[in-house]
Amino acid sequence: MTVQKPNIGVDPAPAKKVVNESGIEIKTLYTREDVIASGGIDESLPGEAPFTRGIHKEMYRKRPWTMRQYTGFSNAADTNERFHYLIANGQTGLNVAFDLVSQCGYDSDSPEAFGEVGRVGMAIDTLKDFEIAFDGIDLDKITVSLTINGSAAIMIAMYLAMAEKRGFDVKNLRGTAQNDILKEFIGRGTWIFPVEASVKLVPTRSNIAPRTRRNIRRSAFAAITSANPAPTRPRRWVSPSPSPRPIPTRRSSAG
Amino acid sequence: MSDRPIRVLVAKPGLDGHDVGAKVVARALVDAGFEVIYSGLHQTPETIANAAQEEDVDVIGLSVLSGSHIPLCTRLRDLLNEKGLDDRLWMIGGNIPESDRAPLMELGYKGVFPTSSSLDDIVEFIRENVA
Repeated sequence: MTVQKPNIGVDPAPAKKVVNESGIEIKTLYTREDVIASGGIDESLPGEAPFTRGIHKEMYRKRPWTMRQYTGFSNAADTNERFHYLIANGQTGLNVAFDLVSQCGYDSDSPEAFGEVGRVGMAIDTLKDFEIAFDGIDLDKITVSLTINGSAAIMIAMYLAMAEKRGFDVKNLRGTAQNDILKEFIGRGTWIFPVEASVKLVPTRSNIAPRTRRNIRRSAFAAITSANPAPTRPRRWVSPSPSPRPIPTRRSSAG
Repeated sequence: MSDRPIRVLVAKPGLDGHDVGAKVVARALVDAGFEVIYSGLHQTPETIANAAQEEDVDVIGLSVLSGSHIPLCTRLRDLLNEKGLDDRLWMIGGNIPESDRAPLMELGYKGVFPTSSSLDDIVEFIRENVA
């Protein structure tokens, strides 16, 4: 009598080769040998490098994660109302959406801004707008994320200036500026300066606020937007066609 | 109509920088044998109307994903009319809510192709409507 062995761990048919986005081949099955080959089980504790068990010692037992829905629309006053509503309903942070005009560094009354003012985020032209948007909000009790890249330098500076003007010690402010300009070239197009100059600005922006110490995170990499926007290589379609010509884009350096 | 290929201006009005859709459509139009001129990002209605006139295109195809299509299309319509380009085929694609289809058609945009439209449908629409 033949006893059929159970099929555990054995593929009936070889699976097709799977390679992840980083180019690493994913095996069908991993065993103890793979764990040993990879350097063994990571025995670090939470809050210790390489942080596989979390970046803080006590993680969410000490403090729940920040809840901050991306928001901002129309003008600073409407956005302020929305901020207060969200905080009243339990949000512990604010994630600020700027309109494309502010993201590109144009003034709301510039010709390029036509039709776009106050859409997809709030319009910010001056420090006064920042003062209105954050009016009545306790800046040392809430963390603020500025989702801004191209015009990040100006927006970070305005946020800090607004906070100082209201008497907050900038050392007590907490938050993040997205400040990820490469994503704009890869995915969203709201860059202002050429690549090299833009990249140079990233650490420069970080140095705008040296007094904030570690409390303001100076950059957040937007991996999703970088990975997903382009199913084709954009340049390839250009060559075989009868020379599509780009219209020169006027970009004002002011504003 | 001469026997020159159909000429299409693919344009990105406004400050929306999402251009993958516009480039995919442009590529499909090239593959269909059309001559395609791509505007690049961040164009104003003025630069688009000027390009349409200078390039003497048969089709003006816009791509907008920021929600600003109604004001941009209204302004562009006025400019295209001023330049006597109202006999060209005006089209638009992008994040266009179904409820905006009728207002856009009323403005003179004969083809409205929101996100997920088929490339074949777009090509076919142009072939049928450029006489």
